[in-house]
Amino acid sequence: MALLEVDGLSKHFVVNGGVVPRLLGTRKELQAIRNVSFEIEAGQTLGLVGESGAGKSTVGNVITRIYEPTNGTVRYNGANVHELSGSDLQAYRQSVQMVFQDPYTSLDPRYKIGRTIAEPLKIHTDLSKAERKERVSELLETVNLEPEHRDRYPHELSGGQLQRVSIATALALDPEFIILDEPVSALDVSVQARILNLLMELQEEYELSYLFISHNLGVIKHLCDHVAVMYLGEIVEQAPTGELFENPHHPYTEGLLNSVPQPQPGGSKSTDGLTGEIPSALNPPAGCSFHPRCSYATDQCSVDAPPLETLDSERKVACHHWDAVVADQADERSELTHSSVQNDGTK
Amino acid sequence: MARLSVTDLSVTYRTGDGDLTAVDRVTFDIQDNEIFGIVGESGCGKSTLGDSFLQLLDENGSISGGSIVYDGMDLAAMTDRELADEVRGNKISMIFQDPNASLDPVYTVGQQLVETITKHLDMNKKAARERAIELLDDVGIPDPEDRIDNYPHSFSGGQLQRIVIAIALSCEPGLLIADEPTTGLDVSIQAQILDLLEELAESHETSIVMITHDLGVVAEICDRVGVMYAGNMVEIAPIQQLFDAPRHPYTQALLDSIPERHGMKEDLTVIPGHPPDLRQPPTGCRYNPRCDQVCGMECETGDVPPTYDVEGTDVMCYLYDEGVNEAYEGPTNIVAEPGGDD
Ligand SMILES: Nc1ncnc2c1ncn2[C@@H]1O[C@H](COP(=O)(O)OP(=O)(O)OP(=O)(O)O)[C@@H](O)[C@H]1O
Ligand SMILES: Nc1ncnc2c1ncn2[C@@H]1O[C@H](COP(=O)(O)OP(=O)(O)OP(=O)(O)O)[C@@H](O)[C@H]1O
Ligand code: SF4
Ligand SMILES: [Mg+2]
Ligand SMILES: [Mg+2]
Repeated sequence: MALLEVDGLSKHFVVNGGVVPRLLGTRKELQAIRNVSFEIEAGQTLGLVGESGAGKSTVGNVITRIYEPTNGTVRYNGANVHELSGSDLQAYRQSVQMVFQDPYTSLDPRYKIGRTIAEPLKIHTDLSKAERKERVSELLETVNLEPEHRDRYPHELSGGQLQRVSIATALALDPEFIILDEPVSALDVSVQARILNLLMELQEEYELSYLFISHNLGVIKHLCDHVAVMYLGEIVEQAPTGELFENPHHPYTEGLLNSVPQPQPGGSKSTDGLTGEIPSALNPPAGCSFHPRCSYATDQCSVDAPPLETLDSERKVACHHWDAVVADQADERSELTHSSVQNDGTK
Repeated sequence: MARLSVTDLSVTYRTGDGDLTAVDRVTFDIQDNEIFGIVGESGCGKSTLGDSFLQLLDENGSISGGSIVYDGMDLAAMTDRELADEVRGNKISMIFQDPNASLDPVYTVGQQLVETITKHLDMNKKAARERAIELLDDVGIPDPEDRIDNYPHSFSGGQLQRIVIAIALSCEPGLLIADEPTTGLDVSIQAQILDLLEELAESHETSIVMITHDLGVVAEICDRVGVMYAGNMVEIAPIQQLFDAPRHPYTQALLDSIPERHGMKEDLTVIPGHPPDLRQPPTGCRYNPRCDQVCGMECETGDVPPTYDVEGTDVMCYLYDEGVNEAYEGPTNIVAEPGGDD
């Protein structure tokens, strides 16, 4: 049994509720996530990637019970998370923590750092004041902050330091599982490197499991064991990290990988990136929701929604024509080797 | 040929706690039809440098030294009026991260395009409107005849940035300054905008200054790059050379901190400490407190290092001076002293 099992999860928001739209029948539902399923094993990291509005944060917010699901279940250690109550719920709230993108807004500006970190200890534990103080010192050390930072206010710290405070707060209750929602997206690369190193260290030391949400594929590739790619609320492909990057099976994954500028000049130019824009989530295209932007699309694609198919290994893909995508890449690869052989020959 | 020559340029902000020199004696030039990248981390002075070309600095900021020569004119010595009449939007235009900052929500995109075109080019309204439709088509707005009379709010973020680019290019400027033009956009839209800029640079013979903190963006479209640290331009190199043989310890560390340069789950390189407070920068090389290759007393004392030419890379670092770094075996080519020639 996996630590976290998400099964058929959907979350719909009513975006123009109220009495009048309901009476007029113009009430609209936004399907933020649709039929999302995945598992995370203890000690593993699953990356969740996709462009803005894909539904990544909503997945995190349903897991942490910020939202009730519209459909589907989230199971943690086998128990349905949205049916927990009493001490089980309390235990769940301690085991599962979340770190957000923007440390400037996720920390209370009125509280000194020490108080912010001690807050969950105060709510969830019976530790005495002295014990809490001791624990805060430990936590500061764990995230490589100085003891003196305890008495500083958020505005006195840099973005990277603040993100370490968020991580320290998340660690306060010895969690097992942390949802990291774009934890380094607001940081400079050199600061990002520190946070990523810290996250990897902590994972090893405390056997943490992560759900790592990011639109930065370089970061995802570095840190995650498995990756799930989301598009318009659905998971369109899921695979072990290496396989996903080397051999994407879904046209969207392929396009996404081609769109990311590589910090290495002279690499493949983004010629077969993604065309067009992401359609409105209020009105997703029929059939495969990627079909209006897809170069592999056929008539079938605009009518039938492809199911998320489990292929041989651990790969899942939702595309009628994934075999064409794979064949295309094989062709490209052989062309590459072919042309380089020819070049060598003529030299 | 150099289209723009920046020499010993300094920009200073007056603040309650004293003066802050955000750009310190920066020298570089931009060639015809070149895309020149300016990279560096938050607060190193990229936007200040970009804003100084057209003197679009904040109230408390001003050019405190040096020159910016474009087309025989020293922009640094011109008045606001002169810049507005002769340069802005016409010879040099600028685009920013947030397209909404450049567009007025109460006018249609057509009105804004036509206004810019008629102001700078000798064209009547009708011809300007036709030109505007052409431009919208150039930047990839579908059905431009139908969309030209729409207001900004009816376009997506990516489309707005395209429209801003259309306005910026409407007068065929020789130089476009783009300050983080794709930051915050989705990667697929970013890739489209970068392709567009590259294409337009070529077809309109425009040089581009691309300001970004994203080394991926730089690698994708720039011909040459300048790396800034704490207000100094510490390294300038052709793009391939910068990535293959970074010379400045800061550039080396910066490149080493990106995950793409490491195996999976491998520890990333970390630069110790923080960038300095620019009100009181360290003496000597501004990077010395964080540098892992300090090579002599000079690194920590006196003025900033001179700029050396090392096999085609301009680098501001004593490692390439045989008089300071005993281990250095190459030739010592000083191309600029920190004080300038005067
Ligand atoms: N509380 C809400 N009410 C209505 N719609 C919402 C709500 N939260 C999210 N949405 C919508 O659900 C969709 C998914 O949003 P979500 O924030 O999960 O995306 P995301 O993948 O995290 O995007 P980003 O990369 O921009 O953070 C979007 O269309 C969003 O506008
Ligand atoms: N109006 C101002 N008054 C005082 N200091 C300023 C002002 N504007 C910028 N600065 C300072 O000047 C330095 C350079 O800022 P600048 O905005 O040019 O950096 P940047 O490289 O563009 O950073 P970012 O990547 O965050 O956009 C910073 O230390 C900043 O705090
Ligand atoms: S000048 Fe000295 S301190 Fe500065 S980067 Fe070079 S070696 Fe390091
Ligand atoms: Mg999000
Ligand atoms: Mg800036």
